[in-house]
Amino acid sequence: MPVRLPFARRSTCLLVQAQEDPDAFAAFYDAYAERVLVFFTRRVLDVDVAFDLLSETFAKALERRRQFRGSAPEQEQGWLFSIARSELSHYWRDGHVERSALARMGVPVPGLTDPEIERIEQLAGVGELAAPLADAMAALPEDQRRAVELRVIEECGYSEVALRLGVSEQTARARVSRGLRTLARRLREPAALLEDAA
Amino acid sequence: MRATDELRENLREAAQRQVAADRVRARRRHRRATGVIALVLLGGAAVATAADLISIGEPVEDPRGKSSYTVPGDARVQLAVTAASGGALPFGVGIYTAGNGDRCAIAGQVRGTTLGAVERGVFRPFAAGRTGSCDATRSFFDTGTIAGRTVVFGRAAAAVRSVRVTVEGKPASARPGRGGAFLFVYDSGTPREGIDVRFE
Repeated sequence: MPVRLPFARRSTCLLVQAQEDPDAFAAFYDAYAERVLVFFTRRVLDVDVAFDLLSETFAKALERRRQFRGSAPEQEQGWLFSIARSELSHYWRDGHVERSALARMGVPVPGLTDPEIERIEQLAGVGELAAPLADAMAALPEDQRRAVELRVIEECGYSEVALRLGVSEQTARARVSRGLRTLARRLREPAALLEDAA
Repeated sequence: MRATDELRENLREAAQRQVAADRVRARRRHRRATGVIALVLLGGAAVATAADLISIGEPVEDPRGKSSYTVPGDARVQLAVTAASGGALPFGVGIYTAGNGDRCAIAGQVRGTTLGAVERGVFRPFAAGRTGSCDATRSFFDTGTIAGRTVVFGRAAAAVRSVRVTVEGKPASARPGRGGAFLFVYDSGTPREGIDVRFE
């Protein structure tokens, strides 16, 4: 007897309901946005970048919602975080937040106000990371520390980092990437972050 | 309004547009299907649609040492079936087991034994962490668009002897490959909705 896929099954997943119901997608956002935002903020230590990553992650989730095949909330959360990790990986590799899904979906990203930035930093416990981060930065090899400072603190593009360090852009990217991975390891971030930064 | 709330409203509006667009596409498909049936009933000549099957996946015979990349949880993806795409690179399906035990499949383009995608004319292997389609049920399928082709892929349970895919009334069957993986490649323009897949 043929086995039919249970595509018509009734699901309690917000993401499944969101295939037909826009309000369910808003509820999906309400359920997970804060967790995803904290996830990003603790990793990039920049609320504006974290908010951009959050926006692209949810735009991709909206775009791909029909590809979700799970049936439980923990599955939709895992599915969403797999997108989030992928976005973080792109950010580490390319040095900027991808916005392709936001463009395709026509979703504008609002700007954060200073009070909101403070609230999100507090929510993510960024302040608590300051001392361990300073220690971890101090322990980095000189070439990696300078590359990370130029890229993250002085917000230089990779071409400028390369110019100022007197190395190729590829080497500059490698030093920043290695430095961020070392920082993540020393800050005892989950293993997933190390994969993301690779 | 806080930016986080404003973003939610922007996403809700985008979701509304998406759902509305899906409904329009569904109505168009229904009208097209009705038109095709009417032509057949009227005794017209065979109607050519865009749903032309290009190829069916063949098992990769020797997968040893051909893992292409890892997914979260360090599971290793193994190329299981490949199929001609009608283009420069064939398509393939990789399989892996997710950390929660789900059986997963991911489709892409194949260069050598590496799974990836051509972006702006350059083949890029899938990056670590990229995930495929998974399901806790024993057999499942998914659809996608790769290099302008519509692909139907997934994994069948061990007891399944044949996977039958019907697109716009045209059936095609294949024996599942290693790990129950299967892949059907259709011409561009084939709608991804309304595809019927049976595991027999």
